[in-house]
Amino acid sequence: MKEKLKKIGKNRWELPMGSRKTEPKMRVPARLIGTKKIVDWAEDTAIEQLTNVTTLPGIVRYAVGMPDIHWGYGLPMGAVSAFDEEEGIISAGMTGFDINCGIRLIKTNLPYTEAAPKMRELINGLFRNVPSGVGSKSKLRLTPGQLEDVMTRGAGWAVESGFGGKDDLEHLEEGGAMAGADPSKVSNDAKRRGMPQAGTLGGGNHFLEVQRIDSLFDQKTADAYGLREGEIAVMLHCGSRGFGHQIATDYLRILDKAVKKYGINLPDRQLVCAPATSTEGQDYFAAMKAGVNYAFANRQVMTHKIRETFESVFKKSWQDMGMEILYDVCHNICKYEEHTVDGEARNLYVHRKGATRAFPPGHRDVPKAYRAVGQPVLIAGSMGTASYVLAGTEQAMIETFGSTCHGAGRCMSRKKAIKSYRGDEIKQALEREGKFVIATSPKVIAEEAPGAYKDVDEVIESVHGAGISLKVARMVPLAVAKG
Amino acid sequence: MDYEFLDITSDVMFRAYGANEAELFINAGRAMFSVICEIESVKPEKTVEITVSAEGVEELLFEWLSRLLTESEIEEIFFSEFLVDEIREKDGQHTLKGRALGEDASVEKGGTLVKGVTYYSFKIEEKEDMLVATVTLDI
Repeated sequence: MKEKLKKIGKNRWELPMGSRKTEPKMRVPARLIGTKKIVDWAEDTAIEQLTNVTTLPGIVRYAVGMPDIHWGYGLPMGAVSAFDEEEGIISAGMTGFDINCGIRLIKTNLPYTEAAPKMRELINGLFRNVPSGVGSKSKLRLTPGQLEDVMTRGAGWAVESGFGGKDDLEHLEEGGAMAGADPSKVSNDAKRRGMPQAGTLGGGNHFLEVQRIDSLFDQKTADAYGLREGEIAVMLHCGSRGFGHQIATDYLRILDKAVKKYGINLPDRQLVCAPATSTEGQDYFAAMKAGVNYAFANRQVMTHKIRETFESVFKKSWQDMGMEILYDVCHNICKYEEHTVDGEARNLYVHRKGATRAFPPGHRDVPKAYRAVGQPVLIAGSMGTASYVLAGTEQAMIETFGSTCHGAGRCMSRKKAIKSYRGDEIKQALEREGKFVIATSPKVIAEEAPGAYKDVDEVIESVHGAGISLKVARMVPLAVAKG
Repeated sequence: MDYEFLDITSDVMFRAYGANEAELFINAGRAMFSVICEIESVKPEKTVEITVSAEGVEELLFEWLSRLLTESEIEEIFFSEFLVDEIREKDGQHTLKGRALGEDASVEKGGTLVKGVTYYSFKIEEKEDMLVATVTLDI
């Protein structure tokens, strides 16, 4: 399949309609953003999965693969697709199990020189205070009433409950809560699974990382974002935990039945969906928003724990350390957004699976503080490698439904990674570079070995070169806590 | 062989084997929990009753694994042993009654977090008198 990709511009490739020989046929082309290296690295299975998305009813323009694309279940990670609000679909499969998995960056005014001597104490404290990994337990146990508030008010509930300040909400995508979440569309199983897990990191590729701002590429935007070279920041990567996972599982079943009811011809069963106008589609959307809001609340509670840990280690208040949130982005989500298609404003259901919103300067959904320069886009590198802050652009609106990549993207299976690497050796090697890693087990470190991921710098050069988001700052890891 | 893991870049895929449906379901449960925890050291101290129904055997396996995952997180238990007491079929509806045994979840015995059971490549096939299930888990 990959050999059919045609270069159509700088860092842009297109897979024409007709590339897929099996039924159902492609309704639109597929595009891939990336350098030649990215194309070489992409698995054929991932490109083939991208064509799965192009066969779905009501898809608009094309399906987009981002440079961090890799083989997933049903569709690749690093995919964006938009669907007409009348003719299109809403898909639980294409949003994924970890609803509103996302990234938050918390700034500090602490220079590296001040933080460095306390790095080991800091990461041990963070690992202790933020429950991480399978089997960890949160001290916070939500009551049914609190969970109801979390579902509808997201991070707003957390702030009102004492986890952070009101200003925090201004610096989160959607202000930390999507409107229209309906708790009655969420099962009791999901609620029971969600109640004990608020304020926990989870596992897999989720992490909490202390970073140093290593270089700035755009001083004006960095100033607007309040990023200064040499200062430390904290990156948090996690989602809606078992609450969101259960909503996804419940709606896989419901939408699987809807596929049959509405006669949708799916290329892969995991892409279960329903017409956007159907009860099933809208029910999922309302339940998904509850999951989105849970994730916002989850990251807000952990932000509070992170600030408390810094206060205890550095003996200063979090306000004195300038621990403001830069931004919080969602990278597994379905959104109802307005986009211009062939000169006409249309409302679309945009699915971002392993992709980040990248809205441009002047957009009404970008917080006022950043409106002159565009939305901050937060990209996590793999363990031990760099992460980035980018800025959203008009080019993303024109070309990729206001979206860009989300991370480095795996290039090796977990099974191979465990065979190829030893967790304790990686930990020691990173420590020799001055990077502390703490995890629940060496196996987790091996699974997430830097060598199991693509080179994040190449991913960033791809999106920067294509102009769908622009480099602002690069951060390097100092210490990481893995779930 | 009871189960084996296959290569997929982003997630975990396994094949479980069984001479009959009950054995297949037990081995699929063990495969999934061998990802989540160190099943060899998890003691069968606590029991959770599991009843699931579906329209076909494949669907029943999906329900069984999804239910085990849900119960494990709600009850905060790692499971290491699985018992299938009964699989019944009536008017096309398949029902499984079984039990999952384990101990309180702990970081010490934790493995990799499983988010959900997917429909991707999900199937049960019959090969040389064995039932073979292919399952992909989201990690």
